[in-house]
Amino acid sequence: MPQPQIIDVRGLRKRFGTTQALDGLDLAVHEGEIHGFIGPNGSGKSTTLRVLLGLVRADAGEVSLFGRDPWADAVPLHRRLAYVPGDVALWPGLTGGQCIDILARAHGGLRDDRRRELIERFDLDPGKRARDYSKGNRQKVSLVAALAADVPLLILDEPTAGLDPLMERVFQDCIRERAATGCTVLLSSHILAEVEALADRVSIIREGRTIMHGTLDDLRRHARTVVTASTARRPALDGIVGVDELEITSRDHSVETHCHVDPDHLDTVIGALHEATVRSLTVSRPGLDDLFLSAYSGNDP
Amino acid sequence: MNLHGLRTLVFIQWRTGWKGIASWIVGAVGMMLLTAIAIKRLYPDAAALAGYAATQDNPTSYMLNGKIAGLGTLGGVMANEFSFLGAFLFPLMGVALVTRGTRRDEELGRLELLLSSPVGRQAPQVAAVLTAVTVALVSGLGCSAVMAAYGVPVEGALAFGIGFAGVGIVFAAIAAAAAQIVERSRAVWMVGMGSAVAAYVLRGVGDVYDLWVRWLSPLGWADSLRPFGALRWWPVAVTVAVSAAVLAGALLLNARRDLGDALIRGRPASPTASRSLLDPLGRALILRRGVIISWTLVTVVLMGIYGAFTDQIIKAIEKNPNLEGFLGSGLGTQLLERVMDLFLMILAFIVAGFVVQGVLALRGDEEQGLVEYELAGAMSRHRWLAVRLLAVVIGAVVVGATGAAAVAITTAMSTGTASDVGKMMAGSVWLIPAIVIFLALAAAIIGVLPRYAMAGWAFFAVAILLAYLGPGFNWPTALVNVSPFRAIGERLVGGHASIPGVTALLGLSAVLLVIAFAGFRRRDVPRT
Repeated sequence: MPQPQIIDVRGLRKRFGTTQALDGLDLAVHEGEIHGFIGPNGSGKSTTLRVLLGLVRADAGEVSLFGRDPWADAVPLHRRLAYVPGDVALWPGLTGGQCIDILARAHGGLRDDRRRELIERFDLDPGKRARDYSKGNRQKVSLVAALAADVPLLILDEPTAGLDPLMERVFQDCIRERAATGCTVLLSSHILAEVEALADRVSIIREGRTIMHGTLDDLRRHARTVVTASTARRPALDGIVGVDELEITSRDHSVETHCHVDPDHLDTVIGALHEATVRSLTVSRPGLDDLFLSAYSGNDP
Repeated sequence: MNLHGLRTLVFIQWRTGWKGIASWIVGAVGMMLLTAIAIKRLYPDAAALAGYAATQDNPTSYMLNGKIAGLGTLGGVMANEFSFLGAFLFPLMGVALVTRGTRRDEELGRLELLLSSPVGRQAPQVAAVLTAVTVALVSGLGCSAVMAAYGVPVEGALAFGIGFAGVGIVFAAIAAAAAQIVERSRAVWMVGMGSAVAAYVLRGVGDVYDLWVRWLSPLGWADSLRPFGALRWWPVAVTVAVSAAVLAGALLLNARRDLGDALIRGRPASPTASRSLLDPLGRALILRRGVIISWTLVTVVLMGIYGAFTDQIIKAIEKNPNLEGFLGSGLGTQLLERVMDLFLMILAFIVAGFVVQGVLALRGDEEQGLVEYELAGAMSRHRWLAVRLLAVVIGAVVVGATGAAAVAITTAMSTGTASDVGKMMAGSVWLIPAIVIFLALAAAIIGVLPRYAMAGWAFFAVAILLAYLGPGFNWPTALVNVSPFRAIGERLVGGHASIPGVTALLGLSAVLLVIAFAGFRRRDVPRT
């Protein structure tokens, strides 16, 4: 059953001068999900987010946010979302706390309890002037403002750039908590571990086009699982459909096997290994980085 | 006190700052040279010098230049002419050279680097002060040499140079102390400039009303050497004693504080936003408060000085009919009004400059990403642009109204006719169309062609060039009147503004504003 869509983008195109920034991009974000939006630098992630915010006008394609046009209805839509830009600029003469108040209130309004709690969790000194903050601390100001705003949608453009691993953990906890209360999150990132840890579904884009989208499990189904085994005898794997890069080496009293297996044929491979008497076995699911790299190597869309 | 590595630090000061050091010296001595050349030419003999002295023996001149002992002599005239410039040049020299090596290096983290090497805790501060003292002495004595070369008695010239060098040294000490007390180099500058203005005003008031307050001013100490009157040397001791005491205080404060710390730590910064900060217009005004205040101060001082010279300018023109050509010939009783118009045109230049700067600053905000961030909130683009333009308008009203009041009041004081205040204020209202057109033009640039923000300044420069130089070079009237500053009419005081010109400017402004808002609604943000 299809869930209601918060964001629906189809065939989005945008040209800046001679650069085709977006070239028929599709993006669907369902209500209540954390959606990972992945692509390398310059692939059009920030431009897409700016189109969704009504900051940049699409040349062609359909864009809807909460079922409305983000360009025409920017103001009412912005009351329902909070945004963390990729490059956080703050008012240098104002304190972090003042910036948080201004930014959060500019969106759906500030929840004081959340503000207090988030400042504590992110270990931020709100009395310092923005010009005295490090990059990481500026990022925290922007995150606290977005997370403290009382809104049903968060649009985050590489939100953890500059955060240390501890704060990255805090960020992930906060996003999960907000998602648990029904908040929808669009998380643009190229930190794949973060997306893998958080996202329900992902869209991978390249040169302004979506080349893959779906749940992580769906996507994994398209990627090979890596199998490494040590058996007593040589397993009968030659010629089996769905096995790739097979390497079998005999060593003393055992046989080492390494191969990539299509997920649909994993069963057959494990059976063959079992026949050969398994001594040790490692099956690793493909990570997002494997998916990403396979999406970017070779097969041109 | 630990001064280990002092020689190295002095070397670093000169090695990295020699351009600045050289320009201060060349600037001071060069200005003295230009003054001396001009005076030699304009007042070639004793009679001419006495004639000059007669025009300067009044309160306006005391306020601006101080009461110079021996004004009728060649040295006295040079001192009088150099006085205004020197009164700010030497203090700024002291402040600039000390700030550079102390708080600014501390702010940038360079002192941390230096002090982590075998360098004494007080060495950077002492090195900066030594540099400033040397530069002040070289500049002062350079002025003495120029004076002596142009025929001023050597002893008087020496006292004059040492007097101004002393001013530079006192301000170097003040900056050294301020660098311990406040946290940022900009604040050190503000303390230094504030003290310079205070010193100037105290000396002026003291000289006009013959009060003791002139003894609170380092400029007063320099004047009291009386280089060209009954010379005396003991006031040098006051300068030396005060500088030494302030410097000792600075060293003491320095010895007691941590690197990066200050006695006064910035304004208490609030961790929450006040209601006025949450309001978009309030925020725009608060963030530009410093800019508005500094423009207002500079405008008031500048326009006040112009106004105070009214009487002298009119007398000079009456004596020398060649000068009248600039304002139009055969003016007779209208001469005063034309001088007032000229002052008002200069005021219009300033306020228009403020407006162009204020509107084009939006481009800077956009490049930083602040506009994108604000517009991602629930504020429409029209409202955002309207609020930001309104903040510029409010600032322009403050700058313009105080500037007009300053020039009107000082003009009336100079002419001695109270009704001139109203006349000039009424005339200044006609400047509004010439300023609004720049607001509209700059807004249209931001709205449609933000990448060409600099074009706003180009239009501004051309408009000033046409209005200010056009008539003198006898350029065609049709061309000169293209400049908004001329299109409003040349005879504003007395109510003879050009109604077609004013109407055209206002109409064009309205069109440009419509273009600005329509363009800004339609374009991408940020637009690169």
